[in-house]
Amino acid sequence: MKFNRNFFLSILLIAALTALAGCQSKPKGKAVKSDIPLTTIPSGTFVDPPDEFKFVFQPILFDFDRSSIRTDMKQSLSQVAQWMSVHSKVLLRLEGHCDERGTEEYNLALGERRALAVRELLVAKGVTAERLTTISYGEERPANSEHNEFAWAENRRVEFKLAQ
Amino acid sequence: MMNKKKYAFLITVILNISFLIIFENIALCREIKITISKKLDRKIRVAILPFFAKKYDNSDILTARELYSTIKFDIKNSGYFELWPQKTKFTDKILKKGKNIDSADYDFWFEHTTELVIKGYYDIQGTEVFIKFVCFDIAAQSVILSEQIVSARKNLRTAAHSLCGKLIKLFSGARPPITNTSIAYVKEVNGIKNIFITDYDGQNARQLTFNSNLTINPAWHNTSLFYVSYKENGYPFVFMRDLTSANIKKISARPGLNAFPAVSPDGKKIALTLSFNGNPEIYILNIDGSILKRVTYNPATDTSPAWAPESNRIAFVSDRTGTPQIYTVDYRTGTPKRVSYRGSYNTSPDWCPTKKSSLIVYTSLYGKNSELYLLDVNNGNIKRLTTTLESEESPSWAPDGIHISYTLTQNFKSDIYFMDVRDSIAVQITDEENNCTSSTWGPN
Repeated sequence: MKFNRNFFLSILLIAALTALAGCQSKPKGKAVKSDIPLTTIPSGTFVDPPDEFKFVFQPILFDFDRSSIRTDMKQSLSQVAQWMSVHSKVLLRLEGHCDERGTEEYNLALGERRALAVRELLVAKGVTAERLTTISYGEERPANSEHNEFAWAENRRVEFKLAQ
Repeated sequence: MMNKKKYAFLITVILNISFLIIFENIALCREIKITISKKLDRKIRVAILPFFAKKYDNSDILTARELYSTIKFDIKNSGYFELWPQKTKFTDKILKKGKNIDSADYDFWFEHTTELVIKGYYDIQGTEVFIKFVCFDIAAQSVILSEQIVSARKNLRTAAHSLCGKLIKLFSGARPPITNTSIAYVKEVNGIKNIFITDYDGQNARQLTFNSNLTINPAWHNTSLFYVSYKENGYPFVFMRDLTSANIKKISARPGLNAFPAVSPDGKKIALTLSFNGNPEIYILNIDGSILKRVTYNPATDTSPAWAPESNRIAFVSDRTGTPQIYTVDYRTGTPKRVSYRGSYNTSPDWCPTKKSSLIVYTSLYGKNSELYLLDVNNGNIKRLTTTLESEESPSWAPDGIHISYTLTQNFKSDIYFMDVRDSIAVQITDEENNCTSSTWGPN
């Protein structure tokens, strides 16, 4: 009987503590962050990566309403960084996209945030910031125009465009 | 025994905390009550009689019809009147009484519990038309408004809107009538988005920009329209177009995102989202495009600024807590305050333009469906405006502070609607174009 009551009370205590913890919102991202400014708008024409390098420049995919780089995408970005160190004259344009869910307005900012997140990681991997520029298309240019989970997963992406 | 006491104490503490949490949540979800005027708790009953030709052989069915439909739309959607009687059909005998411009049939209308009667006539003189507009107060047995106007025949609807505006002004107090306002929106034609403008009643829709790339984010300031276009080298820049001279001026073309222009009500500052610093942040620009102040300093996305009526505070969206929520900030001090707590996706705020108003309208997303909400930033009270299975988003206040325009999306097809926030009845503006979004209500 006593054991039962103690057990019941512990459950209640745990539940209450969980509820309390849930109320505190966790801040997102790093506490201190130095932004890497975009200094110029490159005048060159950016085109799709040539076929022989398509495998390097696979779109970087994101989770819904998130701009953090997924762990399964980091390998792909290392490839891009390495390619960039070999081809030192190439400029890269990072094009951020969102799926059709969420508001059109917010998605335009989210697309830019995604492109900037990719840029930050490439800079961390040694690519010069001046070689990387960003653009957001929000939900305006889906890669897959269907309306389902698969299409949305494909559309939450950052694409790469190259210029000399 | 000791144990029991300990536990009892613990339980009391836990229960107290739980109650506090629950109570706080309830407090946040209290409803907003919006009263427009203390004198009115219901709408005034109005009968509109068809306008007749002053000279019988000079009658024109199109003019009569256009006058009647314009006046009916304005009165019905003003927020102050309802058409009355609702069901009784007017017989020819009653309609003929409309020709007596000197007096209303007071006893007859009184019996039908109608409170106001609108009558009038038109007289076509070449390319011009003379309109007489009279409104009778049935209970007082007197004329409350008698107006006449001469207008070009092609501007007949504008003239009718002005006459209705004068009548509405008698009841709306400080709230400006919206009968002569326009709404700007984005329309996609053959995969290309451009800015269009329509009268608030959905008539006279016309294309404003003819770019071959994306053109979005329209925002009014007096007779100018700000917008974002990707027309230069494919990057999103902010432009300002003077609607009278058609001159276009580039406002911001910095690297990265230049988006969501919002001009302060005093006309001196522009709030924008810029990312040239490496992250989307809110900036305040002088009207010439030079930077006055950076407002946000946060590694999260800060976007979608909307000005408060006094031109110092703005509402904006930030995902600094992990989900997009609405914040307010005085741009001079830069200390943001979170104001939206319910839901995990609250975006696109617009601040009510009425002097000293603390009401924000915004979009809240639940799963695939988005709804419109009103939020009082002073006390956190909210009111849900839409409950349909369709998605509503991107609300914009009319200058009267009681109407909002918004996008309604059904089966991936979007049109512009407006509503009176007090009764939430949807009025469709774009005519099943199926590809219209991002409306913004113009000044009067």
